[in-house]
Amino acid sequence: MTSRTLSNPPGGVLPWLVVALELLTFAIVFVLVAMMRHSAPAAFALGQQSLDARFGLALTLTLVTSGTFAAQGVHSFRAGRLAHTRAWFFAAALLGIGFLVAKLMDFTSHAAAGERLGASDFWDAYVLATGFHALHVLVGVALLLFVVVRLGGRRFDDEETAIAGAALFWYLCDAVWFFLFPLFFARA
Amino acid sequence: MKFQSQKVAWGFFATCMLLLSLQVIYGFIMGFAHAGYDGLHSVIPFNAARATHTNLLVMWLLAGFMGAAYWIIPDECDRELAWPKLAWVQLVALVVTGVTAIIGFHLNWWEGRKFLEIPRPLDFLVVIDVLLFIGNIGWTVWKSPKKSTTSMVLFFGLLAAALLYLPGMIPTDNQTVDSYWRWWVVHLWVEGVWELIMGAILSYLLIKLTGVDREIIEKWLYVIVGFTFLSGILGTGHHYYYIGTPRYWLMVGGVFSALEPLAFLGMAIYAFTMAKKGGRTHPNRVALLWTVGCAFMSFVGAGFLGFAHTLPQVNLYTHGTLVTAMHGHMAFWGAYAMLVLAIISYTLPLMTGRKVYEHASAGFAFWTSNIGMTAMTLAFAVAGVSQVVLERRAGMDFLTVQKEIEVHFVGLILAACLFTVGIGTFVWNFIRYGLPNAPLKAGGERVVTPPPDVSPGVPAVARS
Repeated sequence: MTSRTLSNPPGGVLPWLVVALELLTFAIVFVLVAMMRHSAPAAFALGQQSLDARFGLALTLTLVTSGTFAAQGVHSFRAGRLAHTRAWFFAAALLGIGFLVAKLMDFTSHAAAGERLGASDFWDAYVLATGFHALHVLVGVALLLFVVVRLGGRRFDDEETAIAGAALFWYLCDAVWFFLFPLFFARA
Repeated sequence: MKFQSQKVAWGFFATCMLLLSLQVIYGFIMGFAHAGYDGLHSVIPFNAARATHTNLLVMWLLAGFMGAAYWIIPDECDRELAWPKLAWVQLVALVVTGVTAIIGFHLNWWEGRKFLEIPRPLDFLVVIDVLLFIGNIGWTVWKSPKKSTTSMVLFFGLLAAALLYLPGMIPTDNQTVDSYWRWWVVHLWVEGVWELIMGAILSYLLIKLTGVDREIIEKWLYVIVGFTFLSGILGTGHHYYYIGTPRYWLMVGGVFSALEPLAFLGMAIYAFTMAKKGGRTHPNRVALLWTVGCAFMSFVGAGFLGFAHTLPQVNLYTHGTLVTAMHGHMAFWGAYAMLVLAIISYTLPLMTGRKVYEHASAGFAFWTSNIGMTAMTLAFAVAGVSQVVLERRAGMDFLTVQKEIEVHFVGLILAACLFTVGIGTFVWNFIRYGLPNAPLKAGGERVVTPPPDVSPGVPAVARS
């Protein structure tokens, strides 16, 4: 284990800057959801009855498992086994795609029941907040797959940023979901 | 100046000076009208003056961006412009279209859509003109083996700006739907793709003027510009408050508007850091002043003052009041007007060989116009806040309130006079030192070789 300074974090400064700004953005989102819940408690109580906590838990477990795979990929990279990194990252990306598919089905089935953007304050908050998160998952999957494909051919100029940075962004998606999950599914 | 074809930029910059001067005159017409002296009403009614004032602004900023591109692209791509003559044709076409539009406004030939008043037939001419421009610089970039980040960001920024003109032409009978698309043009220009153009021009200027490594400036500046750009896209939501669009835009607009000032702050801090790091070796200090000033004033005007009324709870009261004019004036001045004046300040001495920056008047123009604009912004702020309190809180009638706040426009006119002295000095300097073939006057000596862009002896900055 090498020691690191603040100016030399794992993955480099740039991915951490991204993480910091994303956390700030989502912090604003969480505060906003709390404000909306406060101003429309009935709509939130009603909306949460339509959510399935088991589904939320399944999504959470998918992301956590995927995050573990990405972490294993970074360990392999540090040990110099790039072929293993590719395999781990690919597995992580597959679970990420699974998450996205499940989320898409979730949105379409709710929308079919009239529970869509504009239906109530709850559905505005739910669709926008988890949709914005899903957008990040999409970017995360793209980053992981990019690393997988690229490592098959040339090497990166800056492997630390590419590999550890992509994984860091992937953990960010996990971390944000840990807040979104209880926020919407806790009383479902 | 490395390439002969870069000289076409001069034509665009001269157009900027002309249109900017006209814009200031129309500003005065409206200032006096607001103060109660609307003597020109029968000839130039307020709506015509308003449309002319804002469209002239857009026109001269676009001319400035085009001029900047015709200067920067050959330099970055290390080759002559693909079709220099076409660039001149394109300039003339742009001016003809613009002048037709502005005369049209005075004859009541307009669309009545705020900021996009240009009548539909002229829209198509604008599209053709911009296609010629994009084709010209695009081909230059394409044929060049050297593709720098700056030239690519500049090209794609301009291309995206051209594409985003199109949503404004989507036909609809519905006022709300029309506003919805209109903001795609207006907002996604100024808080979206124009920021890419701004980033590219700022980066070019910082590379040339500070001597800091291109690699460092390009990497971090584009990271910051990326944040500004991304927060700006969904920030469009703050134009959708209370105009008939769904309620969820309050949420979207609120979140992303809160992030926008942060990105601008990052840009201002970054420009200051680079200017400090680079040392004071480049002779054209005034150009650096405009460059860093642009980053700073865009934070104050666009970031800070924009945030003053982009939260839904605040906008409920300030929507469509003079508070918008307060933000709009300093934002456009800081982010885009100063940017164009910066690139003019940098390129003009290289084109003419005369060192305008050695004269005190160059610095005087910078400080006077900036102090004047700050004072104007304060006058708008006082008028705007008074309007909000009287009209939206006390419930007074719109026109009664306009009468009440007339006095603030006297203050505005005084501030605008100061601003005009600064702009007048800048334009006068452009004429005095900018005419390429005019006989030299006393004090303006010809430089045998243009000053080097990067002076030797600049300490290499440690890579992070």
